[in-house]
Amino acid sequence: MVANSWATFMMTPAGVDQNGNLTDIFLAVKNYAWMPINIHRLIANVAFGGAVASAYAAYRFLGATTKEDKAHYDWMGYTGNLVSISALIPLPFAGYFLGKEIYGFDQSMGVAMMGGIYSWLWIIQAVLIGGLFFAANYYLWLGMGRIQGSERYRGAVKFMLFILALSFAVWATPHSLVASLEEARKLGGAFHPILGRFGFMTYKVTVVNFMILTTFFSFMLYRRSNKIETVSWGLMGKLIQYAILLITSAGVLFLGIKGEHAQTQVRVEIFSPSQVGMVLLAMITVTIIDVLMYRNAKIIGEIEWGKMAPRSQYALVFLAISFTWLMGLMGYIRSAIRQYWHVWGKMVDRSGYGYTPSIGFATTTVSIVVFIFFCIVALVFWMSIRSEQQAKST
Amino acid sequence: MVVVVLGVYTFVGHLVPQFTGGYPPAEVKIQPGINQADLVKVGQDLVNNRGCLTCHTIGGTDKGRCPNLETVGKEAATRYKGYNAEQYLLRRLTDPDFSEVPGYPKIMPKVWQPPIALSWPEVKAVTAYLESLGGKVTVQVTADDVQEKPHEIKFPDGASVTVKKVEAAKEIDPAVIQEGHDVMMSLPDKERCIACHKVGTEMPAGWFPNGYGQYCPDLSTIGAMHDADYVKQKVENPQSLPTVTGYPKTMMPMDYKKVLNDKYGKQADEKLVALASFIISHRGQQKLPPEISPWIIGGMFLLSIIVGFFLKRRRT
Repeated sequence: MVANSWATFMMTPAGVDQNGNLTDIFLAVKNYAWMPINIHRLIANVAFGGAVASAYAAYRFLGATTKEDKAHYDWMGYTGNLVSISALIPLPFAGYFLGKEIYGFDQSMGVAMMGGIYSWLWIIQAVLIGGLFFAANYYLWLGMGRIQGSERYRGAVKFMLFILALSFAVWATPHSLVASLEEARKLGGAFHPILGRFGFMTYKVTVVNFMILTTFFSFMLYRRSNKIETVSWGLMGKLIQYAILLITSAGVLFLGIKGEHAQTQVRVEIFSPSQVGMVLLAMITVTIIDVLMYRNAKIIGEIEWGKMAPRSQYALVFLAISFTWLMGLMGYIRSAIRQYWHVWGKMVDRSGYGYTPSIGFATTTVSIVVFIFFCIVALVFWMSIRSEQQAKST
Repeated sequence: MVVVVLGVYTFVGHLVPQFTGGYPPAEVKIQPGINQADLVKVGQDLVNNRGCLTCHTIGGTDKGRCPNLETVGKEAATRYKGYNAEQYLLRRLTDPDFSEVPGYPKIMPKVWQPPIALSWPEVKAVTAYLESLGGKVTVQVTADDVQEKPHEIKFPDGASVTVKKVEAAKEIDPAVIQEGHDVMMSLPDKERCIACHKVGTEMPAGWFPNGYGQYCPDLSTIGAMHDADYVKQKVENPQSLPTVTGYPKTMMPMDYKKVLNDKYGKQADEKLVALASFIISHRGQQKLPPEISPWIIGGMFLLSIIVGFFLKRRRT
């Protein structure tokens, strides 16, 4: 949190007057973006930590030779993934809150971030987030394969895959096209007449909520794969759950479409937070119903830890790499939106280093840093395995 | 696998349009008497390069976050009662929130303040360019405009805006601030500044307990707007400077000079300077960031304990 205050002070300074003189050190720490970034980074750290732990488990699973080891590391990978994805689900909301506070502090910084020269960065982010949700769900669907009794729910996978794919396609659609003059003339402008609208934030917020609900639904099916409820209201309970999810999805879609033509303030202050609230409320109520419904449930099959398809472990490693890379990318955008301001609006950086590197340069740097990070992580893994082997041999 | 995934992400990163933030823009030096065509060109460059088009559009059919400026030169002439095009555009650039623009939120920053920080001649150049969009250019840059001093713009409805370059404030000696505080507290209760004004966190000792800060302007941020000379002049002769809008003109006592002379004699001037320094040491605070309810923090903590409990239970 201390380090966060340094970074956010440079973006959204507080506790200083217009001339840069310190008036309140407490406010300088507790500046505009401090708590939003604290929340965002705290949740992201949980997601990242879970992903790295599950990546370690994946590595050990792939190298395991005994059934016991495979079972142990399969379980470990699942648990790490559970932690990671549980944190991933509310993360877009925390990111929205952070973006909203940046806009609230200074509209020009917010607009440069989302609608100006850095808008393409969010398309790259969309690619990564889409990959994360795909990998997370794919792991869960493969995981259902080791649970006896899950055959009943496997038919739902194709529908969830369709929703995820469609949502990802919308999310990754930019508003302005990279088109030549000739192409733009044929299109009638810089925006595609039909698909261009998916570049608007309202639709992106809508589909990310769909992806979140789909992932939540995957978890829900995974959880009940080998159970049959024993409560008398089981069927009603399930119907209520499905109804809640359907109504929430409809409500999110309705607000998303309406948001295209709403005023910015209405969309940002009312519609998008309402979508978030509806999804959170839906997840909470469905979870409560699920917990109550499956108390003392009849177990119809065992979870066969260890009998997991090896390709699922690559999904876990992919998650860890993507989380790490995404954190690096977000660090770039957080810093880059300051442009030539060392402290936004207070201190201009007139040194020779006062330029902002391009997105391509930044992605190359992030990739190098992530590679170094995973080399260090591999070293830690290797040391851990070595000490285990030494302990066994003694 | 790490190399493959990183390679894909790096490749995607290079596919998108590459922009850089660029270096800080140099202030454009505009010569007095510049011809209007050149002034419009300077203004156009400023509009294109200083972020205006991040929110505004000029032409096209897309509804931007802020108004389309394609014909703003023509519309500005009749947009606000009593204002001509030049006055309206200058007011809109220097004091954007003075009126609503239907259908758009009040999000425009003051262009003469950071982060845009246009100089006064640059503001005029932008005004000239905006006038040229559908209207007639009337703005001119005079020798006075290029002087490095605050420029006050007076508008037909009596409002005024002072455009000035933000400079580093001079540090005030803490001993002088303390002396000024002591001077204030040495005065009789009814004569103290805090009897009527809010000055930082000082509270009056029982006098005007219900009227504290209501009858006179809040001085908590005065240091950010005025210097010691202003405060000194106001104390010595309140009627020599305009009264803050919304407050009674004759509220401030006229005899402070006499009070200080009676108390401090030959040191009265020195004490007045110290008092003024104390007053302008109050430079205000930034807008408070949003509070996070302790219920949310407590809830998150509780949730983490519950999750931890279920995970541990599952393990055993």
